[in-house]
Amino acid sequence: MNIEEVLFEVAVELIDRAVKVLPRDVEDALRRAYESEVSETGLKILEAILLNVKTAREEGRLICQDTGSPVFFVEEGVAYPWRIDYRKVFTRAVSEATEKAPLRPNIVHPLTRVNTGDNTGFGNPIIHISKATGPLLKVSFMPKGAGSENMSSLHMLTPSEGAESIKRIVLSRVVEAGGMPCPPTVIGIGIGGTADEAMLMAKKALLKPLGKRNRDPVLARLEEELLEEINQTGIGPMGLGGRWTCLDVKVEYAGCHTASLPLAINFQCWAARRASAVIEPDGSYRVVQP
Amino acid sequence: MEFELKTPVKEVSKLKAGDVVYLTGLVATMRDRATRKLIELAKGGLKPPMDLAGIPVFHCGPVVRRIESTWVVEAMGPTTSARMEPLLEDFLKFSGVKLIIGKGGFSGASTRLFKTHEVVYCALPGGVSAILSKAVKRVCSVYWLELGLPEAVWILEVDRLGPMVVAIDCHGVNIYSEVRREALRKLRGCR
Repeated sequence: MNIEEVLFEVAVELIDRAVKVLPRDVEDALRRAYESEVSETGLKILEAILLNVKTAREEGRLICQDTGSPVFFVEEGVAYPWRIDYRKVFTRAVSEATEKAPLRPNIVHPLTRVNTGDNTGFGNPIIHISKATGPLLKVSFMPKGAGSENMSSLHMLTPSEGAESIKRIVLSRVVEAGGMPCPPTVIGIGIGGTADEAMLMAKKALLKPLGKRNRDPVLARLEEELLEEINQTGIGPMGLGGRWTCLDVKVEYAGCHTASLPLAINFQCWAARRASAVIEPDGSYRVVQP
Repeated sequence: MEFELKTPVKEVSKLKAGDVVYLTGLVATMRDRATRKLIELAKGGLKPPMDLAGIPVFHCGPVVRRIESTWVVEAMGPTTSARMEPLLEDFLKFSGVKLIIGKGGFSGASTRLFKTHEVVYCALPGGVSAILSKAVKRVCSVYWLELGLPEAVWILEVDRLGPMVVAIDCHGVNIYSEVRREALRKLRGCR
């Protein structure tokens, strides 16, 4: 068994699955939205979205033409026995999937805008590696579309302003973003830490299953209140008005400096695509979504 | 109202904000770089190589694959039109386009341009690529491939592309700015 070959296959499978099969929790949330949408335009849009999700899954088509920036999350157990060159393996997998799935070649040099042709190069795919307890390796793939990513922001707040200012800023960002991030969105929020850590937490929050509240009761309440208030703005599906602007809000937090209160907001479009796999030390694996 | 629109599209005043439209005929995909290139050519007194008369412009970067000598659209859907907003005035002036298809719309500041030039903006649901790509009958031609596959101009024949919603009409109604105004009013009201 060559672990890097196994991981290559797993990565190609995760990419292919993520861009064609929407996770069940996201589809369920969209269906609940459809069942309770009040705007006629909103209903028409949600109906098209649900038909699209079904068509993509059944016919093996791409859910969205924007197959995103390739982002990997690795959680390597401290007792996992193998040493893996993730950059090498994931680069090869993204290049292969670009041809096979296919993915749209999205990655360009940031200034010359020259397209690399296979979604790799200049630090792509994006890879976040962290350590976990235990003997397993968990890999997640998130194809992150630009429409929603472009609406993301970082705010270094005054600590005394507290939770109320967090809510005010998130709500005004949602209204400003309007239809651009393809609502109904999922909103990932990182509170605390440092500027870089807050942004990463906001993105990682998007990996969590929809409909499940944070285990911390304070954050659970913040998630609930934000979700309700965002859905009272009336921005609606695709910004054309309606009840459903947001499918769910996910909050992560970390302690921060007594003089700081970082707030990071990462928008995710309704096509909240992700796929994960857990790989055993012997190379056997199972794909889980989310 | 629901409309079945066929190209060439030369007159759009019957379309009102909120109407639902399905489009059959030709569309030209165009996004950031092609829009800029068309304007630069026009400012230099040059015509673009493609004829846009009566052809709706679609803010879209498709996923295309070359199979032997023909191009096949694997996936396509609208991209965020707001990126083209700084170019909108020049684009409408130089292209003569009557119908723009995209997502996310333009701000209230641009509504008057749609009125002046008698142009309509239709919104497609974002990300519904699997159903939209099925509406493509064939790729007729492609221009400016050197801009990269998503940025090139693809002339596509489509059959009932939709559902799209008339989001900015040529009578001064912009659904996005109305929805936003109402949302801001609610935000101020609850605080």
